[in-house]
Amino acid sequence: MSAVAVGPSDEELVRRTRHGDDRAFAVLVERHGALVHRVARRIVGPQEAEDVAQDAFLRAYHRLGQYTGEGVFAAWLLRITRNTALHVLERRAARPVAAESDVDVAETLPAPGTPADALQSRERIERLEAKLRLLRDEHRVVLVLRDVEGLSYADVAAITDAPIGSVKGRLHRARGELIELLRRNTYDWELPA
Amino acid sequence: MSAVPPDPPDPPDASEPPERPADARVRALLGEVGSAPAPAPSTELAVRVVRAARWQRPVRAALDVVASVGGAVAAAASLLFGRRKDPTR
Repeated sequence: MSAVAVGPSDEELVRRTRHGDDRAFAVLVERHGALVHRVARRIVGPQEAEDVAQDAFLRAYHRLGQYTGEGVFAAWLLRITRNTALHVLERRAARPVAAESDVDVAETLPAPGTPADALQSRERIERLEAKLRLLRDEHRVVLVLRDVEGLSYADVAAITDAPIGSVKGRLHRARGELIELLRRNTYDWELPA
Repeated sequence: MSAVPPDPPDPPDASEPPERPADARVRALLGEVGSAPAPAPSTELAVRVVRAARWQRPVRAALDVVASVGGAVAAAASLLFGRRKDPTR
């Protein structure tokens, strides 16, 4: 998690916010908004991603006093995002899970390449995102953080508040659950036997 | 999903389990998801967050005061009335 920050560091912006400079926090939101929104969207789905992102930033704002500055700010923020998203999923537990047909086709931006390639790639990504939303919540979280966002095991462990060994085991089971889901699908995911 | 029992805990020093043949393909597919352009949040996200934070701040401060006063009252009441008499006396 090594986003190159132009301007003051995250820690400096946190310090300024603590001293009452709300514009500094707005810079933090602008800097990390896309990441938080992306992770929220992949955990709770597109409809509630914006609400989760806003709620996560608000929680972070009110808890800045708890940020010790020892870890990376983005990891601390993603931990709050993950907790906020899981809270939304808990509230939603009684409701049916979004099925593949619920995917908003216009939601994903076109991929580069020829129009046919872009269409095929976009379709595959939308199908895969829909499958991700069918996974168990904690499995989806680790797959999004590690395999989609490419975070380190240490970052995933910090965000999920779990030992690295547990993260590795959970990732293994999460990939297994996804493989089973994909194998049951008629779409050809080109999975080796 | 929610009805499934939670995963068993792993020991903290667990090493990575052996890779299945399909794991690499799944990682590649998910990497494709990660590198695809994703919709950005609203351009007004920062404005909305800061605006909400500003009006929530005094409310939260007031709630903190109420909680601390309540805590002090409870502590005082406990000191005054909560001490049990020694049954052996």
